Amino acid sequence: MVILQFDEEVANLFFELTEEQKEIKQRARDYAEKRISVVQEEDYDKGVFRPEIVKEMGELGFFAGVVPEEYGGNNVGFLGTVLCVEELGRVSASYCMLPTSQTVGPGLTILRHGTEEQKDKYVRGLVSGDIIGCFSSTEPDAGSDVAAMKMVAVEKGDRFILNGTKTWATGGSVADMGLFWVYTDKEKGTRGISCFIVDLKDSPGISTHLIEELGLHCCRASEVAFQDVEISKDCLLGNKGEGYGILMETLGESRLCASTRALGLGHACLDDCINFVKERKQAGQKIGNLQLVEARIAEMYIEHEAARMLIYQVAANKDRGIGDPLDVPTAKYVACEAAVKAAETAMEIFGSFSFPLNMALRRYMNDSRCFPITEGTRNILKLIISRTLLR
Amino acid sequence: MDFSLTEEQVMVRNMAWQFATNSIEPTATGDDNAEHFPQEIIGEMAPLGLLGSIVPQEYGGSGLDYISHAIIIEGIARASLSIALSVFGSHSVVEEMLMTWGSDQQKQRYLPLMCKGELFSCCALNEPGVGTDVGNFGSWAELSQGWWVINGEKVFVVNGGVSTLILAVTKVSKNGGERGLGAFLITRDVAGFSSQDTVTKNGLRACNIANVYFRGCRVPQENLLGSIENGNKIVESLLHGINFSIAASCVGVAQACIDASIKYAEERQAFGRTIGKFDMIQEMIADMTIGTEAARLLTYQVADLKTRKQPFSKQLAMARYLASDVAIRAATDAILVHGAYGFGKDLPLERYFRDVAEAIEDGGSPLIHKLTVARHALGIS
Ligand SMILES: Cc1cc2nc3c(=O)[nH]c(=O)nc-3n(C[C@H](O)[C@H](O)[C@H](O)COP(=O)(O)OP(=O)(O)OC[C@H]3O[C@@H](n4cnc5c(N)ncnc54)[C@H](O)[C@@H]3O)c2cc1C
Ligand SMILES: Cc1cc2nc3c(=O)[nH]c(=O)nc-3n(C[C@H](O)[C@H](O)[C@H](O)COP(=O)(O)OP(=O)(O)OC[C@H]3O[C@@H](n4cnc5c(N)ncnc54)[C@H](O)[C@@H]3O)c2cc1C
Repeated sequence: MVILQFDEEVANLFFELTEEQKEIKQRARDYAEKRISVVQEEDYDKGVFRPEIVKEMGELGFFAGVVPEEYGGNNVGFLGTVLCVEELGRVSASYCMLPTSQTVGPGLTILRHGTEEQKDKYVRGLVSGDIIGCFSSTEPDAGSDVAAMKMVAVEKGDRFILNGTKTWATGGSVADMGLFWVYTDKEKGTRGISCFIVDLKDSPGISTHLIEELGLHCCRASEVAFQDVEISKDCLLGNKGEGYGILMETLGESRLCASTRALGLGHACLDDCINFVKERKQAGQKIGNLQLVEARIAEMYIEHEAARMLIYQVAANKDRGIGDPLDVPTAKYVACEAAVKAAETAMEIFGSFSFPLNMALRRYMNDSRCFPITEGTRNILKLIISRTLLR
Repeated sequence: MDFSLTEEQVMVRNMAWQFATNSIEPTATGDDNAEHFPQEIIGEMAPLGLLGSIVPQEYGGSGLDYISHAIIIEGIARASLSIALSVFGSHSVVEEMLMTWGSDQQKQRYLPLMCKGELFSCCALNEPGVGTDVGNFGSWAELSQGWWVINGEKVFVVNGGVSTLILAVTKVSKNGGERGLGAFLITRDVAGFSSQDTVTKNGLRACNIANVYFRGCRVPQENLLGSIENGNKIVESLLHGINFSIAASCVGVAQACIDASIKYAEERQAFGRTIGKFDMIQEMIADMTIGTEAARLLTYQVADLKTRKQPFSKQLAMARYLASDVAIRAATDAILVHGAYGFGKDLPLERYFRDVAEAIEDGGSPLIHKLTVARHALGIS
């Protein structure tokens, strides 16, 4: 008989916030409430992203948690970063993507696998917000199944020639640079995938095309097409054929932030519902006194809190160098499902009082549908978890 | 118990599906985008008998039973929940009210024109901040020199901005005292009537939904529907009519989600096979199918009871609750089956989702319907 062994270190739930972590959380809350909520209100229906927000967040240190001081880091770690993403996510599921598309994704990946030149060229800029980043493996016919990608990089002298189409790249049309995963040797399957750093603004042959989406209108995804795009050999990140491993590592961290984005949205639903049911009356009594409303609020809180504990635990453990293959997928699954449900509960509670839905409710409903798709679909997470358990 | 459809019902189903596919589907996404109510499509529905499916033939209708009616609603909602709600969640509910409560004269006067689409109608019940809690209505009708004078405001009225006949329910006062509820047939051209369309809706964007205002509207006495004594019963049957159509519409959209998911699951490749070969995708499709079929059968059961003029309010609450729950689940899961493409606007899944999320609140929150089931079960009145 197999008995599931819990790693005692991993199961150590203790975390304590440092002053810096408390500070960055507060700073993120203030910034989100004072600045992001205002621009989002104005821009959401128009589908506008404001690049200056990247710079402002950079200056506030929101991208600096996961990098060393010499690259502009501020030592708040993963825990500080998720606290920050959660606060941003309470206000905007769009803009809370930025810490991922700046440093948790590209920045950290370059730090781990890059040459000194590559680190010097990109990391400080990604931290400060002077450089806007993105990362992309998805193609029209290759999402969960990364190895089904078709895009290739062919070596030619001291250069690589890129051909193919990436899609659903968050920030793809505004980014200055991106990490792109492509085949350098199709025969080798996943061992033939390599990761490249591509300067998107000054590489001829690249065209981008914005995708119309259900939600997340302030942080849009794009198709990024490459036609005979020549890049220098120095753009290869790590060694040839190491791309797949690099991607899995990158996803390990970006997925934690994806859970946190869901957590932020769930938090917003809970706040809004609590405020609403305490005020609103139906047939002479506050709807907060109705048992089914009480039940829904309690369920929302329970699921939110479970997700929050999981996420903080994973983040705190990452900062201590501890991790296992189950922790991030579990946190992501719980947080994403909780957020999908929280948005529906908010709709149920506000529903027939507020037609048409106010913008916040629309955002919760629409934005939340992306959570069980991006960075590991619901099914893929289940597969990762059960295959790890059954291995 | 015979679950098979009659020949007529099969014919009706094919006709509705064909019409939905050829005449509604092609422009549904464009109308959603443009927030455009496609009046011209409504016009095309009249000669097919779709604007008066349950109205007896003597009044110009198709004289169909309620199962056929449900089948038609499903078929249209598969292509556009906006149109289904406009025609069946509003216009045909007024027809049903006339059939149930109207005098011969009222039936003769309105029903034939309604079936032809020359009169298009809406139900104005809900009030701002009050909902359907009729005891707290702020609208009033008062008898003055042989005319009803109506004042008040109604909100969230489907077709409110485009209908020529408005069925409005208000409080009735007599000599300053309250006398119950009255349902009035009001034509749009009456002085003091106005409407204000609701815009930037999240879903049902191709449906006209408006607030309507009555400022001293003078209505002839013969335009009172039924009697004031029956006011509460009229409201109840109005809500029943709306909720029956919501249940059938939800079944229709859920079916659209299943159809799209099956098609995609058979095309999309991942890990060397079509995703429909993965058991987890099969489970999603099975869940949608089981739920939808159960909701459909419950809805047909209500239809059967309605046709046979039997009590149906418990069955309706069950059908309405389950159908809305199944539809929101199916719409979300259909997006997930399609992965990122489900989240994009090139496919209609995201529209199904937005539409369902709004529609399930029409006629009362699903919570209320669940509690109605419980009250029936527990025998609480
Ligand atoms: C808003 C948004 C932003 C995004 N941003 C980025 C980005 O910045 N960079 C990037 O690279 N990508 C991005 N993506 C793409 C995202 O990572 C993919 O959508 C995701 O990997 C899933 O791939 P897919 O959409 O192709 O779905 P598919 O992989 O085609 O999956 C379709 C369905 O099949 C299921 N499925 C697949 N394989 C299996 C299996 N083996 N067993 C059971 N079920 C299975 C899936 O769960 C899903 O339900 C973004 C997507 C969205 C919606
Ligand atoms: C898309 C749409 C179209 C509509 N079309 C029309 C129309 O054509 N004509 C018209 O007149 N009206 C229309 N309406 C209005 C609709 O009929 C009313 O919104 C609906 O009937 C709800 O009634 P209500 O406000 O009394 O709220 P209810 O749904 O009865 O209750 C409102 C809220 O109170 C809470 N609640 C109440 N009681 C309880 C309880 N016991 N336990 C727990 N929670 C409870 C729930 O949160 C619920 O969401 C439409 C609404 C929508 C959204």
